[in-house]
Amino acid sequence: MSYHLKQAWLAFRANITAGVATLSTMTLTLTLLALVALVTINLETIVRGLEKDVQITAFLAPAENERLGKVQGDFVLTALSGIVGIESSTYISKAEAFAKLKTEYPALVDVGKQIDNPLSDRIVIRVQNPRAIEEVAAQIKTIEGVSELEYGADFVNTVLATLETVRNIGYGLVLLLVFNTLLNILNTIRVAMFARRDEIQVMRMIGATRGFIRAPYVLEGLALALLASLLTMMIIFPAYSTIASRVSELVPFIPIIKDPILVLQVLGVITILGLFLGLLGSVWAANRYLREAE
Amino acid sequence: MVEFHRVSLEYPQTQTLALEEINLSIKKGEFVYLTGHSGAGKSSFLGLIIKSIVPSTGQVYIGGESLAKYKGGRVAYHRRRIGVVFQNHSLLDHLSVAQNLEFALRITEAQKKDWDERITSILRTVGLAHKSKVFPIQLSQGERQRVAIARAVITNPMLLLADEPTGNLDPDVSWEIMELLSEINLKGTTIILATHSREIVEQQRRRTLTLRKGKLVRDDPNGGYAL
Repeated sequence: MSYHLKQAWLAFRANITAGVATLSTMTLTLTLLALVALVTINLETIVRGLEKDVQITAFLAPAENERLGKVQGDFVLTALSGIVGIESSTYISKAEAFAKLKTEYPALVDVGKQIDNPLSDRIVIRVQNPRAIEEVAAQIKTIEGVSELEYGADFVNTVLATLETVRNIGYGLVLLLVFNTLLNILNTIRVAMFARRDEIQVMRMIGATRGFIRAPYVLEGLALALLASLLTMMIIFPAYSTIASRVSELVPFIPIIKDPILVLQVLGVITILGLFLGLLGSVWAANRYLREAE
Repeated sequence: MVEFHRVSLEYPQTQTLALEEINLSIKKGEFVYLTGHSGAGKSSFLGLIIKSIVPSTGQVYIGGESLAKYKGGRVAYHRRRIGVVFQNHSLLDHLSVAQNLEFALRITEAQKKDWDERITSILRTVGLAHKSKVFPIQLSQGERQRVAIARAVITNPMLLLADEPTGNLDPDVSWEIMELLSEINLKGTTIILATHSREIVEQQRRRTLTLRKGKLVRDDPNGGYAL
């Protein structure tokens, strides 16, 4: 192994410009990939938060008194239990709703003394799958006693669609960069092998196996990938920690991930991907060169 | 040791028939000259034996086994049984004489503990024991060719192929190289030597194969030069 490592170092040194070019492209790719991955994880958290807040409020037709309102509420609750896709439903009388409103907005306490309660009895419904909210809402609308529905479907759907587009553009960009990195590794290894073609020719004639000839170049590819992964870690870890802290301070209601273990796990996956790219690119290049030399 | 059974070779890109219907057998321990003009097919003949090229039709057998069966890694192991010497010696200039020999031992996965002994012994055989640390560029043409021969035989091959090994050498040095090859042959290694040197073929009479435009036109056990 030490022989192959030495040969890999010699190959890199003899071909340093191509090596540095590959290293920088690969670092850029892995850095972008890490960024897209971290942004995606954060977006998922935000989306999950948004989805958790999605609910349908079914306003009931006005009742003559509180008792009749409760009877109507029980009737609607029974009807709701027959609809698939509902996680929970809670009856809130108009008195309870008004009391809650006054708690949230204390300024209304005095106003409340002057006017009658303008609110309606209602049932707050949580759905199992927020993306199926339209379907569930359509069924609730048909229940007798339900006068009006309110839910933020449009907003949620728009946010989800936007986030998905942003994520897909990111992945598309990364895919292009991954392909570019692969071609860069391919070229670096080919140039390195071409520079030592006489030696490779002698090796083949003496009886070196393909694996033996390939080993230093595969090690070079892996070493470049490892170095690029380490550089990515050195860039992303402190940069992300700083940005996450600042965002948390500025917009505390956005649930930004700050767990360093999770960030390191993401970087670990990126490193594995980088090593895989290095291995794939160098084995591919070396095999192609040797096939052509046959 | 080496058998050609109705072997033809056509290079598809140029549609050149390099070898045509070659049938022959070379026994273990023989020393055979392969003669012919440039382009007669000598190098193609040797290339078929080390399987750097494959025949278009026919079969090449080494040690009774058809080379057609050898694929991938088996080709590499097959080549370890054969030593090759080229006209241009093909030494690695950035390695010393000893390192060039070590290179061959490493590639053929010889026992590391024996390396020093084998290198010393083979350098004594080729008369270059005192130049083990010297780089090829510091050697004369003849000395480089001796190192190339040393590298080819250090792995104890059963067959040695030499493609114009004296092509760039003056007559005295060529003679020394031939003496060296004879010594190696006496130790049991089969040798096929491709040459178009009349002097060599006439001075040491051995079985001579003559190729002309890809055809084996003469297989003379008594030798002698006749193209």
